[in-house]
Amino acid sequence: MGLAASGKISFLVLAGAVALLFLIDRRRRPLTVHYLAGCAVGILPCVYYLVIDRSDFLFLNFEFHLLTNQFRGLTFFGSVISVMDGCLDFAIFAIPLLALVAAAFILARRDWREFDWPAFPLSAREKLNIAKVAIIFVAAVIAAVLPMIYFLQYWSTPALVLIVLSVPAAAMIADRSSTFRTTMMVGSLILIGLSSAHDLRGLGRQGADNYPPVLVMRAQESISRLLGDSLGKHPGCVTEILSASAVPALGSGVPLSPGSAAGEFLFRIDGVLQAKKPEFRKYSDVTRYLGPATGLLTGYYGNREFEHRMVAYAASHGFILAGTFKYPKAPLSLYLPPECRS
Amino acid sequence: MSGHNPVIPANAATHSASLDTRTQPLHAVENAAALVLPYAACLYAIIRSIKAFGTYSHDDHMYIPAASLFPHLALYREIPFVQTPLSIFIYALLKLLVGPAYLYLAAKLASVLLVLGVTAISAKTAYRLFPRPYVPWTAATLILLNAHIFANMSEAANYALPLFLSSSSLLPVICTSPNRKGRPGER
Repeated sequence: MGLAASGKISFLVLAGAVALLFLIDRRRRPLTVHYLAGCAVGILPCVYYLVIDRSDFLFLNFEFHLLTNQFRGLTFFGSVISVMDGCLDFAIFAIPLLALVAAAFILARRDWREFDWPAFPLSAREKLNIAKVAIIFVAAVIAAVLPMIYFLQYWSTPALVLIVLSVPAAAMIADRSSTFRTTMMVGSLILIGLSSAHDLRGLGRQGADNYPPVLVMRAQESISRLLGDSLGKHPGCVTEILSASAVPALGSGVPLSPGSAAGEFLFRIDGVLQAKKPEFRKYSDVTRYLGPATGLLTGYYGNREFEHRMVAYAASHGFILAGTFKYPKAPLSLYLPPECRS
Repeated sequence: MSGHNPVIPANAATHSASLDTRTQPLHAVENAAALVLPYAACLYAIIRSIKAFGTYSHDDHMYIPAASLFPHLALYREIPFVQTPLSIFIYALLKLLVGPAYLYLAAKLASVLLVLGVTAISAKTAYRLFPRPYVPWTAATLILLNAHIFANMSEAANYALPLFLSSSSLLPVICTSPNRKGRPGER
């Protein structure tokens, strides 16, 4: 869990929840220290950067995300709406799951006499297990809604917990019914069939979201060849590439500018940083990365203000448009310094 | 998952004779479904993996370029990276193994494999909670179908890695409640 938090800081909430599971279980309580020690080891990379570079680490891991919400125009109320939207979407996801289980129960109703209903009242251990599951699920939801914005990926942990618990839970209640088991299996097969047909139909189509890596690598190859030719004729004419969509510039032999490290995510909040945290514009102001030997790869975010500034810089400094390359959404344009002119 | 009758649960002997007669055709369907489901689920995993591998995301431009700059430049001070550092370490390791030209491809593949790993761990966990042959395959189907989890599979970002790491530790904690009477999940 410590390593998971070293991958994404919101997983600290889940790490804390698991510690709580150890603490509330009398039989497992002695293991809490071992668990926490393991967590501490896992989180060491974060601690290292927190110690050596506190202000940058805290800004990039916490403040940046909150300021990004401001860039998106989300007030506190807007954030709450976004989170509610996530909750609704999460509820909608559960429909196939609930439909499958409900269908199994309804079809099996004639066999209800045969169901092995759980004994009530629940034993102390069963109550403890339910409390544990509730703690994990609540922690997973809290980790999902941080930092108060909804994205599909954030809800994967609660979705996983819900599926892993609900399928066996339903089976525990109804497993003695042959109808239930058959419906669960046939229902799964129907879901597999429908989803596979949908996926297979979309495989051949290209679009902004459906763009195979081989096509990205084709752009990569073209850019590498072009840069190789230019550097062969004019050694040292371009020393780095700046781009908010830098993946196609990888492997060309020309290193990326540090400004390319965060894609568009820091450049686009430059206005917010100018107003709120000007000391951190060192990351977001695209002009700070521009130089006489910096090649520019633009186009993917052609509608963004920072790309306009890159193109304007290229125009005012006599950069040449070395080539354009097919890419999802919009073609990429590679601008090289005038020294690369053949 | 071996050692269990693929269809008939251990307590099936308690079914009445009349119920058995009534559900005989159903047993044939059940047997057929039990036979097909594991293969269908595996095939489905392959189809979802291919779809995820071919999905493009602008998030890819944040994690892969940052890894290409590490360790030549100092993380956070010189490389503006907006997440905790583990994914950079992993992608930088991939860069060492395959070279920068194939880093994107390798990172996409890693995301797919990590989510397949999450699916396998989760299916195993569901099975340990209630050991019936159809439980892991139904759980795996629902996991692969889920849009939230699929989104992690289709990006070379930093979501699949913590999901894999947390499920590796979280799910066993859920299901290993000591049960002195028998295996976990058995009543």
